[in-house]
Amino acid sequence: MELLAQTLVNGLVLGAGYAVIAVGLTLIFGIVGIANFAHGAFFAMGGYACYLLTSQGLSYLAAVPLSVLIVVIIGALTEWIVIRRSLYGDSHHGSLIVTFALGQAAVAGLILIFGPDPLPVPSPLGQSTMRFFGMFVTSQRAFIFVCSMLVLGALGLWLRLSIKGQQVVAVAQNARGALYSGIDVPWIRALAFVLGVAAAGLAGALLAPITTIYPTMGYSALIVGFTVVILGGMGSIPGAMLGALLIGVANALFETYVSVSWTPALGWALVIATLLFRPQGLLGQLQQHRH
Amino acid sequence: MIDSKQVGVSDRKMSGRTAREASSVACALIVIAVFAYTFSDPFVVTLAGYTCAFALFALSINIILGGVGEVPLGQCLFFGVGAYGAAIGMGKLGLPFQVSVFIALILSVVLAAIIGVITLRLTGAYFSIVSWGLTGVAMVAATNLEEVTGGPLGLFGFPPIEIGPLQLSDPQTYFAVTATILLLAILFLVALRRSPFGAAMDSVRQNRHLARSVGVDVARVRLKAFMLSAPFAALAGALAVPYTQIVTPEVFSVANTVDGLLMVLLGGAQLVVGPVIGAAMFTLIPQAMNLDPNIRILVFSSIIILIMMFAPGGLHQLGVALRDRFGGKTDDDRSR
Amino acid sequence: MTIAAAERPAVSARDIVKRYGGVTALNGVSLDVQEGEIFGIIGPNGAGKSTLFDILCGITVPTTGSIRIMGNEIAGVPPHHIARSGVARTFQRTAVFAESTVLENLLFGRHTSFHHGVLGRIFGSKTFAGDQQAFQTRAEEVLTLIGLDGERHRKAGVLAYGVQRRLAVGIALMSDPKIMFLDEPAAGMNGRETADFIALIRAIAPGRTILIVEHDMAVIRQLCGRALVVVDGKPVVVDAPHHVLSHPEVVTAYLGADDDE
Repeated sequence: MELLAQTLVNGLVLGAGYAVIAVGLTLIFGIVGIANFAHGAFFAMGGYACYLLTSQGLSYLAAVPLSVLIVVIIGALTEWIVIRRSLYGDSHHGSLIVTFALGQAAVAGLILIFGPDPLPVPSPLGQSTMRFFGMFVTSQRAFIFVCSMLVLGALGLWLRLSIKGQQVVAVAQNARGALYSGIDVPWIRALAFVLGVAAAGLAGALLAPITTIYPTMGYSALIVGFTVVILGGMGSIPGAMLGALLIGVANALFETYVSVSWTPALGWALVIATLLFRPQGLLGQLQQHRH
Repeated sequence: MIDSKQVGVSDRKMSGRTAREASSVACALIVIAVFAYTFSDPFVVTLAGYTCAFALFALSINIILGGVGEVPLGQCLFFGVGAYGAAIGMGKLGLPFQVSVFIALILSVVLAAIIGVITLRLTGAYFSIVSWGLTGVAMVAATNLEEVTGGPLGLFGFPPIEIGPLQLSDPQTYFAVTATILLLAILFLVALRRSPFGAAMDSVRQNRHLARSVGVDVARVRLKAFMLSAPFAALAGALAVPYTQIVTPEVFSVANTVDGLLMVLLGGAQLVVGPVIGAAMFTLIPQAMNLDPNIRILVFSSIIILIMMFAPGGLHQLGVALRDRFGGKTDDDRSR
Repeated sequence: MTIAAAERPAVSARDIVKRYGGVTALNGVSLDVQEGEIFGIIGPNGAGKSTLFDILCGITVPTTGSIRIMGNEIAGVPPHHIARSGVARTFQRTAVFAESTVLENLLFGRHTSFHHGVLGRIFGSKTFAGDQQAFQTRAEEVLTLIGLDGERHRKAGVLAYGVQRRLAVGIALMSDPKIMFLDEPAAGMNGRETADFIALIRAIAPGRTILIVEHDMAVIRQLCGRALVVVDGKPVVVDAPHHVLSHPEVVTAYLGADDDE
């Protein structure tokens, strides 16, 4: 019983981290209309930015927001130089290949700059543990959970209450309609892209102390992000959160009770089952047929 | 109603094309022979052989990318099936190389049929993501099923690899064999593109809905293309084994697919030999310049981004555009 | 069967309902289109016309209701089979294979009318070559019909919009269909192109049943014997175009409709 409770808590923490990655991914998909295969690279950049700042003597807690800022800058530049120019055209897989190549280039760049080996990111919260209702959680994990919830909550409120947030929602629902009603759609798209990759960068900075950082860390994040997003329904933010919690908890349970070594396959088993029985994902909208 | 002049023209064009092709095949054969027997540096010749094997993999990717217009991020699954098939067949079961490869090819087609039925209902990013995910599953499986796959360390220490009298451990033979197989594959794919099935693939790639409305069974064409692409990748994987001499779960890594995809995009997806040109560039230029593999990825990825932004048809399209502008030639180039 | 053919409608739909999640796109639409008729379907944007078209030609499966084409129930028949049995359609937006030439566009349907072994297709068996020839002949006829004889080797994507729409009709004509569905065929055409287009439809109409979804009332008025008005997924009236357009409910639907898009 205690093991089960502990496992569930671990799963929730894991899920919170996944949710931040996945919400960014689903935001970009919903607003910009592309599957961002470079998302993992921005996740890794968040981790490396954090490493760079802490290695300069900055404290971890100050490094996290600064890392996000660095990722925001890189993301904005990427959007401005590449993304908005590569969406046009009749080649519908253009954006997929471009973002994929961006991710590859970034990973190769990270290897060239920092080397291929894992690097530690020290966190003052790293070693201590906290007790909640008889369960142990390392402070870093608690921090991840709290930060994720705060950020997701803030994003939710912003989308619901602010004017810009409402414009984002409008573009997601009907880009052409939004354009006709005077919304600066390209600007909203750029904003969504930068917000999305910022979320990935935040997740990278948050998870860095517990996973260490390495150039290809983004691949697993990207894959987890995609499983979560497909499970929840592409473009749906509540779906991404639900999917993240489900996969986080399922992974934790599977690791504890079945097999650690087969866990990476679990997410895909869930995704394939989802696609077979509910192709639009758990909370996704069924795409109306269009030509 | 038939315009006889028109038919005559197309006939003449046809025979001119055939002659041109026959001569390019002859040239290719001569180049292969000359290359195999003049170059004595075993490293260069072996690398050339491996490049030919990998070019087969690029061709497999292009059956999907250039054929039906999906990005097959999971194609290394079949590459791995071929590599493991050859390795397990030789190392564990004591079968001859060619028998192991044959079994692996059959297996890859069966696997493609099963996977295709599930994943090809998806299009665009969904298809790419899920097929990528399946390679992750394959990698996990290869790591865990130690009895069969040797686990994370993989399989190695094979008996000398031979096809009948042909010793693949001999660099020149290895190159001659892979190059010849590559040539046959290209000829097959050229014929395929010109066949009605090639036209059907083309229609599906350009516009699924319109294709369906003119009676093309879109789902079937996509599945067939997928099943056709699998054995090419598997053959590539198997032919890579004499070069690598080891098969680890890393064959299922997306890095493999990335290499193949870059080759296709460099050379251009709409040209049958595009991926082969890309493969040559991808291997030879870094080799000649002694580039770090990561710089290679960085440079080629950047080139791909530029190509996609400015010339989505690959370098081939760039060439055609330049030729049209300066050469004044019309667009009757049907060599794709 | 053949004796009843005269009374048998070419396209017949009964109580079509289509729901997407909680949204009802179509609610109880029925229609009968007689053989040889040119039948229009009109209505404000978002009224469900395109959905109705997709359902009538088998691309979308209705939630409830039945469709018969030439007397045969089409439920469960794959769309490409329907396409091969003499039913053709054009699309609103993506109308042609942009990267191929005009002639190639017409020939894409060629492998559908006859079947050959894989080897025969690739290496060109004799009967295969003969069928290719027949198809080529048909392509020549269609080129003349749609007036694109001189453009056969141009890439479809570079043609003017109105010309692309003619080509789209040409693609549909290749199978010599008995029934044609034209989805907003004249959208975005200028006056001259529209007039040419109307002439083209008149020329191909004999011996065919044609259904047209169209916003341009002039096209409907000049071509159609009868038109169905769909508003908010519900059928309002079926009548001759000039009667339909003065029908009070239609007038309110059009004038009262939100100016979406």
